[in-house]
Amino acid sequence: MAEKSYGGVNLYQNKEPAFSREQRQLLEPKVLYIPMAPGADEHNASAFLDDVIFLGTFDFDYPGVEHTGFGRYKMRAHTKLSKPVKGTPDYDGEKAIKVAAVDADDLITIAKRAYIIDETDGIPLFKKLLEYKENKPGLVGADAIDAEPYVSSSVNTLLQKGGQVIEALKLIQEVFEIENIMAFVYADVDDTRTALPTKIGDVAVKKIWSRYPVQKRLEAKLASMGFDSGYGLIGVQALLHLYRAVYFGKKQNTTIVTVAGDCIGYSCNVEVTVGTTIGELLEFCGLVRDPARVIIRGTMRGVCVENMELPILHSCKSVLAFEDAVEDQKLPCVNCGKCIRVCPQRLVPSAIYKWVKRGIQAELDLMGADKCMECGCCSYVCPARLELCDTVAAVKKEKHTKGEEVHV
Amino acid sequence: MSSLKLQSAKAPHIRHTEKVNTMMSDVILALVPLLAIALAYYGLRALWVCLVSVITCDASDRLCLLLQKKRRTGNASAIVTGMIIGLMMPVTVPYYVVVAAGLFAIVVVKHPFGGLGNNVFNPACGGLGFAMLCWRTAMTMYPDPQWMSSWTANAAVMELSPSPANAIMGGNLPSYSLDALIVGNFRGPMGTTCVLVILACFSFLLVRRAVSWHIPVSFLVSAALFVFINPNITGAGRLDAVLLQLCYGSTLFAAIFIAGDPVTSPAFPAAKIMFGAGCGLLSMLLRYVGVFTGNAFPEGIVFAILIMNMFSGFLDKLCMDAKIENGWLKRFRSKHDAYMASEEYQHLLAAIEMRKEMRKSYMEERKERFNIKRENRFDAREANREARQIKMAEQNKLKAEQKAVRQVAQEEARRKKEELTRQKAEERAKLKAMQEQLKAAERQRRKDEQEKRKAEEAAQKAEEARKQADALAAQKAEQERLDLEKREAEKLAVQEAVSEAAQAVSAQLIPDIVEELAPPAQEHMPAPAAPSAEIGGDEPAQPEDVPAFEPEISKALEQIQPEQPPFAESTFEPGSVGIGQEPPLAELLEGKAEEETAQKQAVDAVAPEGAPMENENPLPGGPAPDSEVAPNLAPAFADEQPLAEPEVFFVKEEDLIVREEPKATEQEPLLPFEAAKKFPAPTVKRKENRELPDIDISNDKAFIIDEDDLTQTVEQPRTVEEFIHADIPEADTEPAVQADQARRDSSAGDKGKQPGPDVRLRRTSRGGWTSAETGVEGFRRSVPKHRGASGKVNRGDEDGQ
Repeated sequence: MAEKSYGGVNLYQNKEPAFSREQRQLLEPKVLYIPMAPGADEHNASAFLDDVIFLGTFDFDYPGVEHTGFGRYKMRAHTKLSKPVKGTPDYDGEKAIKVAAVDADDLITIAKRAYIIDETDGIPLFKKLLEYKENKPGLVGADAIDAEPYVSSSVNTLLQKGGQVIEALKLIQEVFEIENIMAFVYADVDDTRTALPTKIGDVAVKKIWSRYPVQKRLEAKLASMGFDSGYGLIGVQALLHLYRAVYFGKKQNTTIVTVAGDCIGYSCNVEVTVGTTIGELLEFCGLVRDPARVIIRGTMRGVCVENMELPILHSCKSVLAFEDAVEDQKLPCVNCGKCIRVCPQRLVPSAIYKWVKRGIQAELDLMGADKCMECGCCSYVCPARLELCDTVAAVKKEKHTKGEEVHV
Repeated sequence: MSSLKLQSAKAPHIRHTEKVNTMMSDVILALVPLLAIALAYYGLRALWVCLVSVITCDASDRLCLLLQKKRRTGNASAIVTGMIIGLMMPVTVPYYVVVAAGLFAIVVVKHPFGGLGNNVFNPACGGLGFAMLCWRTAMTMYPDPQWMSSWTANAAVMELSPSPANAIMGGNLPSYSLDALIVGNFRGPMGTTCVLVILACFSFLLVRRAVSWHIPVSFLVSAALFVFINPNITGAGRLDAVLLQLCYGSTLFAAIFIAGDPVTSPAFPAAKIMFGAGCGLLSMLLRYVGVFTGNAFPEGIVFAILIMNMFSGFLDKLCMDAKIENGWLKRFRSKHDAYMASEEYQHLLAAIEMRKEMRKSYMEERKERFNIKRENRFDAREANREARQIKMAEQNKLKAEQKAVRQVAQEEARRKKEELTRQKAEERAKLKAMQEQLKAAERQRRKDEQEKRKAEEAAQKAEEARKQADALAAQKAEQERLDLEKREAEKLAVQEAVSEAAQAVSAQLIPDIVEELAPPAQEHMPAPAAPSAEIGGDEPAQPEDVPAFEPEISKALEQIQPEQPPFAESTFEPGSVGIGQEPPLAELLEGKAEEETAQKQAVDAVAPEGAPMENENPLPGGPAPDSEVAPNLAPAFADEQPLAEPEVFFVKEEDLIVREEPKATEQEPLLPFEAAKKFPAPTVKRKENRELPDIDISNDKAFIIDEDDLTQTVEQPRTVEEFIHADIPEADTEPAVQADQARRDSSAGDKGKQPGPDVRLRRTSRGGWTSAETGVEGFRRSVPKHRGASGKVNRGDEDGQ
């Protein structure tokens, strides 16, 4: 029994009302912050933002970004920079002009020049496409799996701009001669008002019923369908931007973000220009109360942000503002074993925590902490409110750095 | 915005609502009903005992924390400990025992090991065990429960006796009733007897996930199995023994509330199951065999749990080693490998091989020793085997022969049967053929007879006719002869003049003609002679006109006109029956000029007069000779007739179709129901605003409240008519309706159409109607409905006109 279960937790997905609402657009922010390459005076922001004025460099500790240099930019008043080439921000009404006879190399260069980054894992799209060119996968899927509570930017995009996404997916299929394409949606959502479709166009939408970390379940499902390793997943937003790049010649300078939480007045999915500050986005959606926590990138794996001036970057799928603070109360572990049952990687987080606290390295090395996928399930269920996930992740990181040192 | 103070927290940013405190409070909540039951059975003293234990535990816990300078984080574990201690004691227990147990639990068992989360033994269990060992009689003598009658009962007065668990332990069957067992109406620790309530509390805890199912279930199952396998109660069945052992005493309570404590039990599910099973087995063992103080404890379960608490860490370690990489099992495997590679093991291997060789040599010796006996034995066996084989072969041969014989006999029998059947069939066929031949002969005979009869009749008739004709002919001949004699005298005078003229003419004309027509003339020359020859002695009958010319001229004329064959040339056959004298008769009567009629008559002459032609359809009433044809021929005709019929019908049908076409154009339009039959209505849901009911204004007025509306009712009819007769484009009609109408147009044409009203109204909130196009609001007066085939309002008829 234990072998078949994938662990994980049942989470109440507070996706409404952003899930069903129409997307809004915040394309002309006052100020933009764009990360700079280390050592460079001015970042090549002008590459994907057409008309901006460079105002200087700032240093931020941005979670997940190694270098701290950010360039501050201001949009010129007379141009509508972030809007697409042809005027209207919504591409549905326009007549699409396809670049004549796109082949694999063309598509890769288009993805490269349009600066398209997969929002699910932060990998540039052209790298993925290069991989597909070398090793043809049996399946390429549009990844619209939003398993974390409150986050619905991918599903919302698929529901509202599904035509464009599927068009891009079909283009990839056509160009790379891939047999199967489909879209994947997280279906274990109780509270939504919108029904998930089974098909968009003639592309099937596969629903994943699973507990929170979907990865194992998804792998098992794909294996049952006959794709053990030969499959590729591309984020929905990346596909959307690929469509825009191919048909309208537009670079990716926006990302779709879910703005939700109990402090937000009108929680919805917003298409934001990359580099917009979190504060401006929250003001755009309206703050009802003063938030105690602002979280970017999801509730389970996200990061708490203390500085509202931080910009929104490509892989940021959500901005959440909550009123209640975290309890500081810490109890000792009562050995209930819930974290053991929940861990999808079959680790023993409580034991790791124990050895870390006691500082016994020999035992710690045995625990296989480097397998951790940082899903946060152990911390979620822990009745003693221990920071299990964080501890294990720290151990993992330490091990990685050690390993690198050893290799060097 | 920058003035906001934002908190930094680590992922995940949402947490499950369950905490340690909620777990503890759930357990307390589950214990409260048990306390209530104890109150009901034993009065207020139960409450005091519980209170004392709880207060002792909580106070000592706080004190210990204070001494350790630890911040008390509001956990309720001490209260749980206190409640469990109180409920596991008899009501009559002295308070000092309770206090001592509580103090021991917290101060000795819990805190020295590190407090909550670190204690090795369950504090409640430790306290209880301490009390049991120290004050044995006080802890094991129980009063009888009295339901709701002992609120102020004095403990000193109560009669005390050991619990039925004691009796079970000794192997005696106590008098019990199932009701009392389930409700808990028997002597025992005050909170642990009521099975029903304990199970209900357990289910509550399971739902709240304060306790996992592993430990209690494995505990009870293992205990039950142990008792089931070796029941020690005399006079009770195995299942009864299981029930009694689990219900008496505090087995159930301890399994759920004490053994299920997460701190002192393992964390891994497998380890939990092992832990529970060990607890169950040990508790039952302690009941069966006295270990402590020379006598068995009824509540030995407490010690069982304490013993298993020691192993919980070990069980966890086992599971973890099985789980993690480089764990216990793998380490054991590596040790094993190291040992296998060591010299010690090599020596051992060598020794084992030596031993094996010795064994081999010993076996060989032994073989030699018993060789002779074996050989003998083998020989005997082989001989037996050969004999058996020979026997078997013979038997098989015999069987095969018998089989072959049987098969031959069967085949013969089969052949005979077949021959018989064939013969029979042939005979039958012959008989049939004979019968048919006979029938055919009969038929033939009948036919011949009929034909003969017919021929005879015809002959008779012919003879009669000939006789009559002969008589007539004789008379006429005599008259003619007389006439001729007269005429000849006259002719002779004229002949000379005529012959001269004739010779002159013939000399000029005839030779040319004769040359041209020579071959036919030669052929036809004998023909005119034939009738005269046949007529025989009678004078040649000549037509009246012929005598006017000379015979030569007449011959010449006959040669000139060979296309007019001499009458009855084809029909007159030598075999024909008695018609020799008829043609001249007919010729005489009707004249030579009408040759066609003469021919017809000649044909008619073959058959008697009045008889119909064979090819024409025979009349039933007529004296047709064919009617007397043998009945066998009739069906042959009947078969031939239908062949002609279909052609006739085919033609008729075509005619009909051709005739119908102009009719179709003139046809009136189909009635609605007919059209509906022809063109079934498309399955489209009717919209409410399309199907307009007839509404009287009088009814509508009931809805009107405002004066404005009243005024509108007066004004509206005009506007309604306006837009009724206005041309409204057809664009909004549904495709199904359009298609339906197109069909109707093609079928019915323009004739049935009338200028139908084009109405598209919507109901307004005021109870009136608006038109979709103009937005004019008003009440609708009896708008004439013009329904099409589909039952919908006919729209767009204006286009057709």
